[in-house]
Amino acid sequence: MSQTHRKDGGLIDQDKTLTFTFNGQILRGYEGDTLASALLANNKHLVGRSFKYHRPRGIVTVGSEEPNAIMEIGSGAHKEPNTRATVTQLYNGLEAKSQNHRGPLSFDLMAITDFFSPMLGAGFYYKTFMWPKAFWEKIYEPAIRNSAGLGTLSKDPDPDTYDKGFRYCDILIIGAGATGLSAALTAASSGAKVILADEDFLMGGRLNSETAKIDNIKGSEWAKSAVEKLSAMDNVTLMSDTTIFGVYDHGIYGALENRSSESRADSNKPRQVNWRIYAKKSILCAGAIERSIAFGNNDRPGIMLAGAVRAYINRFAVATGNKVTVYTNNDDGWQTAKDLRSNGVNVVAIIDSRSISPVMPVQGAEIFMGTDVVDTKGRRALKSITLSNGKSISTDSLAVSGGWNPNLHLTCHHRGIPKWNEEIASFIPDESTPPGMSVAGRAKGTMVLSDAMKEGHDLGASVASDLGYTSADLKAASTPSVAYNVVANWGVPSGKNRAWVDFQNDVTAKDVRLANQEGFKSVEHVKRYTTLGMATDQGKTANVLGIGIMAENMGQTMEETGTTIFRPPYSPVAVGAFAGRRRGMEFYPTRYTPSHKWSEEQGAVFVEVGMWYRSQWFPQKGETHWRQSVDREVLKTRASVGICDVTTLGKIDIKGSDVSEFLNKVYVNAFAKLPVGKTRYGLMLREDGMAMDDGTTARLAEDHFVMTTTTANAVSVYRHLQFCHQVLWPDLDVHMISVTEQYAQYAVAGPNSRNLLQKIVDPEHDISNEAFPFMGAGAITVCGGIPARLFRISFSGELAYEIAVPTRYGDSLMRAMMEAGEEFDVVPYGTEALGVMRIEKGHAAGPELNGQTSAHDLGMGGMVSGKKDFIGYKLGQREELLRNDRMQMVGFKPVNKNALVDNGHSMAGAHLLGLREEATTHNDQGWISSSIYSPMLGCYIGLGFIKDGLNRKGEFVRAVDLVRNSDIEVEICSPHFYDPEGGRLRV
Amino acid sequence: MILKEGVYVSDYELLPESPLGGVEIEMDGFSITEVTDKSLVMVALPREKFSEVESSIDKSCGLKLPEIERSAHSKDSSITLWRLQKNQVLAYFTYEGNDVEAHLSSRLSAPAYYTDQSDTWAMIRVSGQRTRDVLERICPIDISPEAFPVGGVSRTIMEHIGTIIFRDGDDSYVLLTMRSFGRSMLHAIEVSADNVL
Repeated sequence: MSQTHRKDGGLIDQDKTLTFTFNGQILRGYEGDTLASALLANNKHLVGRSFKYHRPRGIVTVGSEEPNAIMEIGSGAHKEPNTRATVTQLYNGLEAKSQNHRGPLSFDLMAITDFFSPMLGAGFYYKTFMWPKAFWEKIYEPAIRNSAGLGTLSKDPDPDTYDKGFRYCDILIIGAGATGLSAALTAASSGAKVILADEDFLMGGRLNSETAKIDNIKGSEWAKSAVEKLSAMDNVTLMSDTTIFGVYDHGIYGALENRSSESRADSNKPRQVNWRIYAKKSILCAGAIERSIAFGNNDRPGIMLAGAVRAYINRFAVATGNKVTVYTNNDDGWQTAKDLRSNGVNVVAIIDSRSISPVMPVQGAEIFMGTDVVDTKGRRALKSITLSNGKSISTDSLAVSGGWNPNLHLTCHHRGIPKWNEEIASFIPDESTPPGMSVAGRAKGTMVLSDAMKEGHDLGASVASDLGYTSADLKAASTPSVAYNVVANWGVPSGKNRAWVDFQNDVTAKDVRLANQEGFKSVEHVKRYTTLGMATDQGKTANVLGIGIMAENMGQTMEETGTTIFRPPYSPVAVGAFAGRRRGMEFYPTRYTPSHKWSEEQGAVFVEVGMWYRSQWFPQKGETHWRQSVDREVLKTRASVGICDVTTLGKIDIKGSDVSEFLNKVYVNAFAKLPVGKTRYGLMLREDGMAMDDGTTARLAEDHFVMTTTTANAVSVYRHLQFCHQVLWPDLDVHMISVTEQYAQYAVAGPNSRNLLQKIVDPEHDISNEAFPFMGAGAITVCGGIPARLFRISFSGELAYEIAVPTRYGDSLMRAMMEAGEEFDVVPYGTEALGVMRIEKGHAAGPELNGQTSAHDLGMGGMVSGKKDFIGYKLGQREELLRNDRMQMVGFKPVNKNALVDNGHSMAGAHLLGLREEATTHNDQGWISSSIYSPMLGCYIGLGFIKDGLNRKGEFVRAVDLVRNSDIEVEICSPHFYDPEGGRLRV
Repeated sequence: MILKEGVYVSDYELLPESPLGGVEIEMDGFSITEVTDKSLVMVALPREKFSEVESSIDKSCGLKLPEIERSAHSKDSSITLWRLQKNQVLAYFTYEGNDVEAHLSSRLSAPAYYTDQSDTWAMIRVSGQRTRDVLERICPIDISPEAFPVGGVSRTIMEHIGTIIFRDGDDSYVLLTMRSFGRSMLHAIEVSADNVL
C-alpha cells in the first residue's frame, strides 16, 4: 500500500501522482513534494548510514540544513552524490539511492565500526593506528581513506551545462518568507528595482509550513497573493529555487538558480545558472533554523526537529508517525503537537524540560514538565523513548525542539561575528554586517511573527528611502502575536549512551568534552579536532548546540565561547556552476589569423600560441613526420621564397608630436633621429634592467611610428606603454592604439621574395634594393590601389619583407601571393620553420628574453645608449649586471654532427657542464635556451647562456639533459650560425 | 601587370571579407546580425587642443563632443562619435573608400590624430525584445534601460573577450570585439540565446 502516511490537504497537488525509486524500490508521491516528504509519506524513515559509525539514520529537517538525508540522485554520468532529499523537488522518474553503506541499507556491513566507537572518538587518527609505524602508510591510512568520504562520483564528465549571468538591482531581498515578502511589498511599491530570492521552489518560507493566519487568511494563501502582486510589477524580479550563497565585495552577491526541471525537459538548457547580483542594498530575511538537544541515542530514524514535523503535516500532508511524541525547551514545540492533532495524528506525549505550567492542552497526550528524554530504542526505526523520570514511552516519531537559531550565516561573510542574546538563547547578528546589508525578522532575532512582519515592512520602506525612493503608504500585514519563550537546554547527562551533536560527521557530546579535556579550548580548535560543523551541512543544526555543550564544559558564557567563522558558500554549489561555460573549446576564446581558412585548406597543423591558432607547419602528401615538413619549408624558403603569417605579433600605432622622445625613453637605443621611411630594431628593458621585449619600430611620418612586439607580449607591452604615457610622462603628446588586428601581416622571405612582391605591389612603388634598402618602411599600394605597408626586415636572415594590408584583404592577399609565387616554387611556412631560421641566424626571442637576461647578456650591450635616460638604465648599471663573467648568450654546436639524431630531440633545456664534471647544480655553468635541427648545417644547434660565454668561443663543454637522458659534447661558438656577415639580407 | 586607368597595376585582385561573413541569425524575439557597412576611426585628442577640436567638430559637422560613455550624431546623421575616454573618440560612420582616415579628417577638420580601426573590430548587432534577457548572461555591466540609455557606449569583458557595447536603439546593441575573437564572440551570443529563449 503506497503513501500510508499521507493525509488530505497540504500545498501539494494530490491529483498529480509522480513515480520515483529509492534504492530500486518504486514509490509514489505528488507534485509539490520534495524527495523527503514523499519518502515519509511512504513511511520510509531509514534513509542512510552515518559517516563514521554507519548508524542507521533518518530525515531530520525539512530544509537545506538537512544533515542525514543525503543521497545519490540520478544515474550514470548524471549521478550527483550528497544531495539533500529535503530540498530536492520530486519529479517523475527520480532515482534516489542511499549512501555510505556496504551491502543493503538495512544491513550495512560497515556498521561494525559502531562497535569500535570507543577507539574512534574525536581525533582518533592522532592517537591510534600508530603501531607498527610501517603499517600506517600501507595499511591503516588506505583503510581509513577507503571508509572515509561521503558519496561516490560517477567519474564521468558532467553531461549537464551550466551558465552564468549578471543582474543589477537597488535592493536584493534574501528570503521570501513572511518578513521578506513584507519588505518586498513596501520596497517595490517605491519603484526601486527589487530582486526577491528564495532557496525554496515555492516562495513563502515558513508560512507554507505553519497555520498562523495573516490578514485573516491562511499564511500560505497570503504568501501566494503577495507573490502574485510582486510578479505583476515591472520593477521586481522574483528568483525562486535560488540560493544566495555568498556575500562578496562591492555589493556583489553570488546566487545559484536551480533550473533542473528545464534541463530535464531539454538537455540543451543549463541545469543551473550562477548569477552575480550587484545590489546597492540588501535585506536579509533568512529566518531561523531549529536546533536539537543532545540526549542519549538522539539520532535514530524517526527523531526529527519539531518544526520539520509540523511542516510535513501542514505543507506536505504527511504524518511522520502514528504515535508522535514532542520533546521541547520552548513554546514553539507545542505548536507541532497542536497541528498534528488538527490533522488527526496521535500525539502520545509532550516532554518539556522547563519547570513551568503546560503551554496548552493537547488532546490524548501525556504531559511531562521539567523532564528530559535520556535514551531511545529502535535501531532502524524509533520504537520508544526513556525519560529522566525513568518512564518509557512507545513512539514511532519524536519531534525535538531545542530552540531556533537566527539564520545569520550571510551577515558574517565579511568576517562578522554574531553576538549572544540571552533572551532568545541564540546568537543574533551584530553591527558588523557586510556594507549595505540590513537584517529583519527571525534572522535578526525578532522571533515573534507579527513583530517580524512589521520589521520587514518598515525596513523595505526605509532602505528604499535611503536610495531616494518613496514607498507607498501600505498597511503592514496583521497576525496574532504569539510569544517565543525558551530556556536553553543543551542536553542532559546520558550515562553510557552517546548523545549526538553533529549528525553528518558523527560527532557526540562526549567528543566535544574530550576535546576540551585534551586542551582544545578555542571553538575553532574544537571544530577541527572533532570535525563538528565541517560536513556538507556545515553544522547548521549542530554548531550552536556544540557551542552550548562547550560553554557548559568549560564554565564559560556563550558569548565568551563564540562561534566559528562563516564562509561562503551557504550551501554546497556544484563546481560546474562555478565553471559555467569554461569547458572544452570554450575554456577561453580562440583567435584566428587572417590566413586561417586558407591554411586549413592546405591541411596545416596548428599550434596554440596563447589564444591564437597559428600554422605550425604545412605537411605535404607523403610526409609522415613533422621534421620532413619543417626541414623542407626552411630549405625552400632559403633557396627561393616562403610566406609566413605574422599577424599575431603586436603592432602598436603611436602618433603625436613627442613620440620619438617617448620611444627614446622606453628603448635602450636611440629612436629620436630615426628617419621617416626607416625601421629600427629596438630592445626594451624592465625597470630593473632586465630585457623585457624586442621588436622593430618604423617611422612612417614625423609624428607617426608603428611598433612591433612579440606575440606573447603584445598586450603587456601595450599596457607598459600606456603606464609610461599615463603615469610617468603624461605631459608628452603621445597617442597609441593597437593595430595588431587592423592589418594582416605576412613575412615574405627568400632570394625571390622581391621578385614575388613585385608582382603584387603596384608599379609606381619602387621596391628595388636601391629604392627600398634593408630596414626601409613605407606606405604603398598593392593589387590596383589597395593601401598597404611594406617593411624590409628579416627574422630569417634572408632577403625578406613584411607586407601588411587591412585585414579584410588578408585571406585574399595570401591567395594572391601564393599564385604570384608559383613560378618561384613558393612555400608557405609555419611557426616551426620560422623558429628554425631565426635560431640559425642567432636572433634572440622569447626563450632568451626570459626575464633573467640583460642587454649585455644577450650580446646587445653595444646597442645600449650612453647618451640618454631610458627605463632600465639606472638599475642596468648595477655592478652585478655589468660583470664580465655573467651567463652570456652564445651558440652551441655538437662536436659529433650526428649527436641526438637517433634520440630525435634537440638540446633545448640541457644544462652546460665542464667535460669531466659531475652533473650537479654546483657545477652548472648555464643552459641551452633554444635548440633545433638545422637543415642548413645538417646537425642540431642551440642558443644558450654560459658563464663568460663571449670569451670562451672555441671551448668544449657538455650539454646534459637529465630528463631526456642525453649528455653530449658541444663547442661554444657564435650564435650566428648561418650567413654571419649578413650578406644575404642586403641583396 | 594590367593597365588600369592609364597605369599599370598588378593583375591580382584583392577581395574584402568581413570578420563573420555577414552572418544573420533570426530567433524568437532576438536577432544577431553582423554590421558590415560601418567604418571605425579612432580620433585621439591632443592634450592642449581639446577646445580647438571641440569647436572644429561643431563647426564642420554640427556636432557637440559627447560626454564619456555617450555618443553624438553629426547634423546629417552620417557620422556618430563615441566618447570612450577623455581623449579618445571612436568615429562610427559609413564610408566605402580605402582612404578612410583622410576622409574622416577632412570631414571633421579637427587637429586630432586619426587611426583606422575598421578592420580591427568584428561588429555584431543584437536586437529584439529579448535582447537584454540574452545579454545578461554574458554582459557584466548594467544594461537596464535606465542605466544604459540609447546612445550610450561602454567597454566591458564578455566571456573573457574585451567588448565595446553601443546601444543604438531601444532594443538594439552593437557589440564590438577584436576581429580575431569574432567567432568566439558570436558563439557566446548564440549559446546565450539558446540557453535563454
